[in-house]
Amino acid sequence: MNTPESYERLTRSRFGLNGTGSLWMAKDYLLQVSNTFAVERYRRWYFRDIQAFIVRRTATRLIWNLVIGVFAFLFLIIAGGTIYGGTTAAGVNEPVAFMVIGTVTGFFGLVFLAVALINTAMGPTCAVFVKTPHGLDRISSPNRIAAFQKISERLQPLLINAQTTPGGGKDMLRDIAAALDQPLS
Amino acid sequence: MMMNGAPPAGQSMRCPKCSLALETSFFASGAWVACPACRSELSATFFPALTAPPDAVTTASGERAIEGESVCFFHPEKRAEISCQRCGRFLCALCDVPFGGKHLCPACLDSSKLPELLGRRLVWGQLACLIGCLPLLSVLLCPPLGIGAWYFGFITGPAAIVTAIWGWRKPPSLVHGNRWGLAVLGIIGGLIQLIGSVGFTWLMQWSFRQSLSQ
Repeated sequence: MNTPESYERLTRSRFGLNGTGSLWMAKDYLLQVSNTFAVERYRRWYFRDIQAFIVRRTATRLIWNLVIGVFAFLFLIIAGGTIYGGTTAAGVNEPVAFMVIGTVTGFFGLVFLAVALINTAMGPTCAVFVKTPHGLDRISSPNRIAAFQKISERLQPLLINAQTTPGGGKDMLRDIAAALDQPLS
Repeated sequence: MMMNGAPPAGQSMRCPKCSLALETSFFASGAWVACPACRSELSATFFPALTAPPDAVTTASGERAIEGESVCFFHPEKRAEISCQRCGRFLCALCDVPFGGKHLCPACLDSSKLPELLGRRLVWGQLACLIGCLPLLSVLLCPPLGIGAWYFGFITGPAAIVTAIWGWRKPPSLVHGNRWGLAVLGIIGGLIQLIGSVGFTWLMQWSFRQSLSQ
């Protein structure tokens, strides 16, 4: 039986609506592990069956940047307004209160901005599909083109090797028969 | 992103978004192309399996063995064609089950001990951790919900401990292996829930008695 060491992680766990998903590589197949509330589901694609990888560019990065950007903009506007209000406030404690609120909202605004920048720096997003004789299946991860290209470079020689090397079953039997000095068909 | 130069001609595949049939020659070497129907930007990497003929499916029942030939383990009268790549038994054409590029015997395939045959698995340690820690997390994140967690702690606390102990020797996650830490965390979470529930109940009773005495 395979030990856990016989799987090599290709992508980190990616959170989705139905749990997490990650991609692993075994000796002769790709394994997708989806985890939903402690139940792991396994999906396999054997190297010798994979006919093509198809990648489709998605707008996920743009959508997330828009959502995060709106939050960053709102927080920074509130922070700017509050700090400006603090400088013009007349009371004794009011300027301090305004500055504290402005600093806190400004911090959150900067955090959102940093997340948007990291999201941009990670590169364009994509959806990856595997074509086999059974059809087209989507892989839950990777979802970045750069990450896919790294994995693809890693997998290509293995896939070509698996698909161009003839199956050794009968050859193996011949070897065994030769070793035992028994005639075989 | 192409393999072996130009993409193979005469094959087609469907756009993953709109299912429009696209010739493989449509995918120019290494470039992103737009689907004519949905304008999705696509790129493809092809492998030799795309043009390889499908594996021949044999309906042969196996040839009768002649004197001195290797014979099938399950059918001693049939000639051995191949050996099982898991247990090594000699097999005739009928008993040879091609599976994921391997040749297996029906017994190995039926035993379901192969990791390649596993479709799903419950990870007991993770389940114990969820039952043990989620109610505690709800106490921290949402105190009104946390009061409910202390009521249910009499159920979820022991459940987490029992799940962790019950699943201690169960098969672990296929890829992560044994994660004792999660089970231990589940037991600790379960104990905290149990102690918290007892304490909460005692506090409620004490405050009730105090209000009665006043």
